[in-house]
Amino acid sequence: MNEESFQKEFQQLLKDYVGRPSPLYFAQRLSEKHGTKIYLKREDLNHTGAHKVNNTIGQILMAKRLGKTRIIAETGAGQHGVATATVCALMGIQCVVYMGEIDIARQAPNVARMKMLGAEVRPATSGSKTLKDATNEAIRDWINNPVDTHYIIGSAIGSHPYPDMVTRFQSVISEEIKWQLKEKEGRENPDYVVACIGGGSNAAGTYYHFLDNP
Amino acid sequence: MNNRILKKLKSDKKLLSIYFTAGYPSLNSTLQIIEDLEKSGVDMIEIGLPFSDPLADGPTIQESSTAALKNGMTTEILFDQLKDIRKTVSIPLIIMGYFNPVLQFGVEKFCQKCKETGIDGLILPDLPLDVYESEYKEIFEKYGLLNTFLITPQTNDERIRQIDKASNGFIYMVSSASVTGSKSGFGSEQESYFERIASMGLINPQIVGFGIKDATTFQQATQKAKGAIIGSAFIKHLTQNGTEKISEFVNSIKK
Repeated sequence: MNEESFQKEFQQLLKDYVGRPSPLYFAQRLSEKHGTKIYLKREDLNHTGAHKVNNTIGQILMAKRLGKTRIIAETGAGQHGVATATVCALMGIQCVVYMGEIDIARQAPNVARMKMLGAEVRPATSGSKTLKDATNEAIRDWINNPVDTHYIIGSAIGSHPYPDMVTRFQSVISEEIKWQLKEKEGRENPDYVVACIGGGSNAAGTYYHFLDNP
Repeated sequence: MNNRILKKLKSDKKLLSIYFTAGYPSLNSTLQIIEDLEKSGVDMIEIGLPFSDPLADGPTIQESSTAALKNGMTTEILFDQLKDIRKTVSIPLIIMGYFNPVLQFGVEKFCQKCKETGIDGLILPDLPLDVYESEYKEIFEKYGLLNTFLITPQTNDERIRQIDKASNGFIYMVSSASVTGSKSGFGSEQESYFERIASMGLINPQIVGFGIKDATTFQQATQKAKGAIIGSAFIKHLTQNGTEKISEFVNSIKK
């Protein structure tokens, strides 16, 4: 991951394919309303519309280096599934996305998008038929196909080294905030960093370079 | 260590171990199943602790787990059911399950309960070796419990040696890259894997699990290994026949 050739390819794709750096936007009216300065880190402006793609780009490059020829992923609302299907289409690698049966019904546009990108969307019908069960089914798939398949987990969850790896791929968010804030405000560190949490990868990446600050 | 598993492993015959999910087919079938299995000549029993997310298991064990939880099975109830088990049963008893419920219950409390009820060992496939050694080994040993690690055809020799060194009972040899209950027989790939492991000259005997369902697969699995474990096939038998005819199932394997 820290290899020069890997980083070069990763950074290049983040720039040209994802569209990084994502803007750090000063939200003037919101700031006035709350009597403070509020900046928004626009991860929604990445290709595929979320921060998820930072991680899937990193992991698809990893999978290629490991010689894997098939990708599996789990998805809840579908953002990670779309981001995975996208990088698989980019690299021309087979992609299977597990998604809870209930989520498939709720998130039809994302399901259509994954299919359009050439991915197969497999319904998870066990348990509560949502994200947790899609994850179980993906792991069962991996147990059955350990040699040719790489499992791209979308959140800072799972067994080692996933939480660490996903966090590092997402740490580009806080890396950019630091120099963007320096440009705009003359300081690298904001007083507060607020991030939303689902699986935690957005928050982990947004906090990463601020963790040692008091 | 005065442990029933270690004694059993010293016998010169091939061992048959049976897995079943506690609380299935009904909440209170646990004791009868254990007693009938011993009477039928089974050598060891793995009592499955039901869990909502059994991700190494195929549909058969998944469904039995879901049913057991619906029947109301909990870790607390299981230990309560087992409290007098050593008055009637003398073969080794192992609890097999995922680490989550053990952690929820409290690892030390869990191990203490195991000792009180006469459980000889644990198999927790999602408790990694290094975490076990750094955090739980002392507790397991304090209560005289053998911990069993798993290897698969993808485990490399170096890791197998490491696991062999850390084990003090048997090594659970997963027969193939699959979830439980999914193989339709063993082919040349399994045979060469069985041979490869046998030729490593490991300290601990190996017991094969996953994909053993009848006399043929039992014999294939135990040609090189010390024993074999049957789970899904026995659960299917329970689904079809209830807790009657357990000895018929066991006899069909050991014939």
